[in-house]
Amino acid sequence: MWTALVTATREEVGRIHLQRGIDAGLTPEDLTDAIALAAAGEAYSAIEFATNHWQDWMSRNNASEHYGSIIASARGSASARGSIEAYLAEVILVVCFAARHVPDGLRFHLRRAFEQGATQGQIAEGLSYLIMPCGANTLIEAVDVWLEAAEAGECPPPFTD
Amino acid sequence: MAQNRSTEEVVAAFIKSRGKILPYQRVLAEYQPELLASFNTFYTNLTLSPRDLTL
Repeated sequence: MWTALVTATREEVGRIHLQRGIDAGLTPEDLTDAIALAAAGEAYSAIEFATNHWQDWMSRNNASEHYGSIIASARGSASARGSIEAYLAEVILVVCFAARHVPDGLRFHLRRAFEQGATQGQIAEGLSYLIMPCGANTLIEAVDVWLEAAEAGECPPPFTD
Repeated sequence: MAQNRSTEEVVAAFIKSRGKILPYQRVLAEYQPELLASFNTFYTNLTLSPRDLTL
């Protein structure tokens, strides 16, 4: 999570989190998979651009299929641990899109995260990491997007009262 | 400790201390109450408690 987040935010000083990952038992391949996942998420904006402007050549279905393939490839399988689990990859991308202030991408991956079995608590924990590299205002925005997505019926709400 | 209190108690205590609770704080109260408590302390010391540059 931290590796992808500091990649998405281009926080070079965040290297401390990579070393902590290694110290906690991750392999270098795990970290490169996380970096690749954060990088793959940035393909979303290009595909979304094409979908919005060149629908004759990039339909919504085509876009979803192509983008999904990019994400699946980036999740990796190079390490003995295997690829990043699908639900976790989606939570990671929720956090990356929140960090980069891309609400439509955040909503896209929120829906997919819950479809893959992520819980509200896991989403909340992931978003809480934003406080350190991005500040609380980014967390405020992300939770507001989550509420909007839930109100639109795209995913469960963060809370019910 | 926040972890020994219900979400409702955490929310009520937060509203009592700050007057309201924003959605992101509500999320932390639900799933990360210890983090909410420590962040609130940090935020209070950073922005609310008088310091040398306070007007």
